[in-house]
Amino acid sequence: MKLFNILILAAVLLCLLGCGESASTIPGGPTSANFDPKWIAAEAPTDPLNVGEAREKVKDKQPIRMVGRIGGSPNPFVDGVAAFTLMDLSLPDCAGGDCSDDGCCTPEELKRNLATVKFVNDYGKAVAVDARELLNVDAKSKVAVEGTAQRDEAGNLVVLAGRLYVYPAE
Amino acid sequence: MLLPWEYGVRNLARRPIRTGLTLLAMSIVVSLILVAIGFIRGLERSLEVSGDPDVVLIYSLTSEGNIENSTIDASVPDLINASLGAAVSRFGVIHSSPELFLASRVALRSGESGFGLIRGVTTTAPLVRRSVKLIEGRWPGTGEVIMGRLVAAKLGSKPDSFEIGQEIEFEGKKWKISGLFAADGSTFESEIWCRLDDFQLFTKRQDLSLIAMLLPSGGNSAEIELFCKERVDLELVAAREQAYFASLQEFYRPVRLVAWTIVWLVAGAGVFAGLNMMYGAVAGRVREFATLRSIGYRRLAIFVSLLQEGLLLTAAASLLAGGLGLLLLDGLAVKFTMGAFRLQMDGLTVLIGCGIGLVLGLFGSIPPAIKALRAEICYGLKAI
Repeated sequence: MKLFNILILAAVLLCLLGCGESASTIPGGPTSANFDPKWIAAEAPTDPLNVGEAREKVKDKQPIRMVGRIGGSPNPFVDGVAAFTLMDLSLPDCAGGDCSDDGCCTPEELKRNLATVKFVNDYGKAVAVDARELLNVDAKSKVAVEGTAQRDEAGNLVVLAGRLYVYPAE
Repeated sequence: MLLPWEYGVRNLARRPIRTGLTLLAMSIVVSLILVAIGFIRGLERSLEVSGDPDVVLIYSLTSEGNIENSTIDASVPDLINASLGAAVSRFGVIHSSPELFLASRVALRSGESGFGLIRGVTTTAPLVRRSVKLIEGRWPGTGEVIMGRLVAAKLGSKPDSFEIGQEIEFEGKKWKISGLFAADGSTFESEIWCRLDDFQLFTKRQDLSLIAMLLPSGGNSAEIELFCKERVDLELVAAREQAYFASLQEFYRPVRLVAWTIVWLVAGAGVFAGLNMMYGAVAGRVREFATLRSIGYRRLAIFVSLLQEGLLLTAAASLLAGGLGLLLLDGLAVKFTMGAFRLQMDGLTVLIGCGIGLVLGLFGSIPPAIKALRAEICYGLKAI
């Protein structure tokens, strides 16, 4: 009987631990006071372009659906603004940090596969809330964004985003 | 009943040589502790005051946080000034300082040489680097430099090697010293400043290391950071100067850890030195303690008197070391990798040093006092 009670207790504890884990990794879950669900899409956009592809194909002011991984530098976010850099899914995770590591991408490769995503309000200004808080995302999160492309002569791609979908952690 | 206060004080004077030697040993221990803490405080202060909260640094993403490795295109300052209105602008002058910063071998006329930190700047530099004050001479003209107050320490040479009008040599050219500057103890004080265009010419470089921009008081750097993120092609990163120096504090954490380890090792050695001295001091006084007990003083009274002696001695040693520290060590220039800084014998340093000194006196006295009082009175009175 005693053994049975211990087993029950262990099972309950395991369930509780399991529940805790999954609750904290629900993408887009409301964990911050600044979290705003209006920016979050319920479903992933259809046929989004990968970042590298988008940089090649998308023209200025074109609507864009793009998928990628938040990264490209040790701190891909801009403090106090809903903006971050998104890198191509084909790039390894280490591209979020030191690109000089063996087996990682070169800075040139990274430049060709990096875009900036900026969440803008009705006036076209960047939302003045940190993206980590507004959207509940973190570095290395796989996300898809919908918005308008902004290109410059140097080939840089900025997405003026209105919606974000966070893929569940793999 | 406790022993009179004067009893402990007079006891110290009864054995002047032993007391003097103990005082000297404890003073050395506390002085070493003060030097180590002064080093840590000096390094921390130097990095703390170097970061202006309103200044944003823009440097190369690939420099891995080391500005000496940073290289950005010379057109970036104009591009940023044209694109952003984040920096302070007065009378049409944007408070943005393009700078070329690198370490180079500097040779003096005396034949001495060493690695100096050289910063090529424009006339907007003093608008952004607000701690820098020209204390002697004038702003450098062509072929001239101004020297920070700690350049001599950084190069390991005598301060009189850098008087106005004297010449130094770096990057294959002789430069005349036109002025001296101070910067509130920040790392700039260990730098040599010259004109940016001169420096680019003689280093055969057209690029820059960084741009420092002054924001309005309490201004937001997000606009600059966002610009750097959007212009992926330029490979720029923006960081608050304070955050940059905070990251250097983190970089130098192992150095500070070593310094603290030295503090504790020296303090540990001090405890053992104190123990040794106090054991010697009480060993010859067993008969005295037995006599005191036989006339009615309790063990506790004698124990307290011994602690009083130990504390008096270490308090005097701490005061002596603190005084010497303030007179001889405070402000002493120390050379380190990214410049030089001054030993900081401030209130906190003296408080920690003297506090450790008193703790040494306390803990150094307890074991010998216990040992001395353990003996029975009859045996104690017969002790030689």
